[in-house]
Amino acid sequence: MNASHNQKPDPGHRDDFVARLIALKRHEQPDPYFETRNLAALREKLAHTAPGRAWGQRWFGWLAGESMPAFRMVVAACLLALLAANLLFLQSAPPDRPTAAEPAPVVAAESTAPTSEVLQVASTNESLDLYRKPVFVFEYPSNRHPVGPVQMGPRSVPVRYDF
Amino acid sequence: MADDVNKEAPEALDPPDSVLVARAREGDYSSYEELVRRYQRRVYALVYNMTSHKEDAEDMVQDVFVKAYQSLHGFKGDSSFYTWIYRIAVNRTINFLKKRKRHAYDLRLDDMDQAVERDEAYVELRSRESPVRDVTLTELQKKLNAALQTLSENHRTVVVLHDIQGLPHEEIASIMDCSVGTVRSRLFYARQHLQRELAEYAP
Repeated sequence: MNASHNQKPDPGHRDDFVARLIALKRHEQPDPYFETRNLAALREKLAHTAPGRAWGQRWFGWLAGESMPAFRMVVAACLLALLAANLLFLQSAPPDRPTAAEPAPVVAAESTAPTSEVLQVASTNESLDLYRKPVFVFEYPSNRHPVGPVQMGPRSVPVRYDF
Repeated sequence: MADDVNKEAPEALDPPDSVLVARAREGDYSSYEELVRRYQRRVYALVYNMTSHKEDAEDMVQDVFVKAYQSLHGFKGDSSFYTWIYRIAVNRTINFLKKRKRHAYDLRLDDMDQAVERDEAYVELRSRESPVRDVTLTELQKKLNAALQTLSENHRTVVVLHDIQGLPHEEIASIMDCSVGTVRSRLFYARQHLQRELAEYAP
């Protein structure tokens, strides 16, 4: 491409000419009735549209009665159904925390200075989750035994300082 | 006193865009219609030159002005109404063109006015000692539009705004929400591409 540019004596002139050629498109004109037609079509489209308002104003207007009553009823019914379903779900769900009736096993943890007795009980109590390994443990592989280039990148080279 | 009246009269007859926007926001549709009247031709030219399809351009212009009316609250007045409406037009047209890419389409071109025959570039083309002097206006128009359609949407937008509509780089950067350097660079590459497409007409 550069070679072809160099062959031509005046690339700036060519560039300018292309721009002027493209500018001929300024002479393309819409038909004379375009403006009237466009204004009429817009008037028809915007006849029932309020000028742009903020979303808060739009919601207020909608609630105040700009929407169709039947549509408002349907939306209200949907919201009520969702609320009822949510309440039912909360009531039927099994409790995932100890209730007040059963003693909480983590009492030992609340004391500021746990005695050896408490610690012993805690360590033997299987219901405690304190010493259980979590389900997901992210352990990085050792740097000495890289699993592969994806996880660890290239194998590390030991550095010697004794010379 | 008479001078004051004379000074105020044109403004009252021809209020600035900001006044019309404020009135339109309050629900005065006639003010919005005045804004449409002022800019519809320019917006049409922009969309038409990007789509090379007059019916699509007409639909798109209506769509742009409807969208602008619905978003008047979003117009903060940081830029001119003209820049703002152009930004809407450019974004919506680019979206339209991306969708249109998937379908086949024909060019549907407007007629050229008589003044084209006195245009410097056209006169220069016709005075050449080469076969291009015999090109008809319709053929040339088709060729120009086809060449423009081979550009990417962003490059085409820059060419249309700069070379056809004559906007300065700074305003194009504001409309396209990019830097002036990006505008210059896009214009440079777009012209290089057009040079190749229109090589037969180049001097």
